Amino acid sequence: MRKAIFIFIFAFIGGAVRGLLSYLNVVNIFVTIALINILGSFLLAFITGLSTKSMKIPSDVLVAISTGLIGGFTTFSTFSVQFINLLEHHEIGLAFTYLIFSLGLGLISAVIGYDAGCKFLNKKEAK
Amino acid sequence: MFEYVFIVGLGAAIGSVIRYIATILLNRLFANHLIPVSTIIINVTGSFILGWLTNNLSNSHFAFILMSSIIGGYTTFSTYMNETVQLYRSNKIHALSYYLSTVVLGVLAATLGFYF
Repeated sequence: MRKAIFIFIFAFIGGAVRGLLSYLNVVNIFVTIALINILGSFLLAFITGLSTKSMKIPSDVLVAISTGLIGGFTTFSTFSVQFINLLEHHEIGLAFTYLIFSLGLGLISAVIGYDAGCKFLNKKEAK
Repeated sequence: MFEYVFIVGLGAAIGSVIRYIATILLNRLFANHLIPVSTIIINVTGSFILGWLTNNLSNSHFAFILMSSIIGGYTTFSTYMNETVQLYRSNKIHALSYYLSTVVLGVLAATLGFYF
């Protein structure tokens, strides 16, 4: 129950930031959502890298940040619906560009994030 | 602007708590599976519902904004990517299956929801 309350509060923040970025919509909504998902993938993998070894992150804090803050920030459903919306408007090239861009850079940023999280820890240990 | 940001935040808060509870329940059903079935189910059902909402409710409607915000917070792209990376460390084939099946099933579900 305590975890659910933490998730609620932190997901509110993550979702509100996504809402604000979507509202401001600096370039276009596809770029905005893709960048949110790519950044969120980096951050979640970074936290995972940090927490795998000796760094003790309390489970309440970990779940609030990963499930709440970052989980509420990123979104899979908007991504999949935007893809079929582009197909619906016969923007097939754009649709697949969006898909490959999101999935490709999302995965790459998660790989880099995880690595950075692990190394961040090693550097601290070396000191 | 403030109202919109508040509703998206509130929806994400509700959706994320639902995702947290759903993950716990689904993990009991699908324990010891090779790929994270729970996350696939969450992202696929969320894509179906958002596809349906998009084609069946006016996107300026309050109900649409709130419900799509809940679904936006319920589904998660970051966990999908992070789990792919974690799986890849133990089994490359499982990671690839997970990576591809989520996107294929998610897009299919969104399409089904859209035309449902």
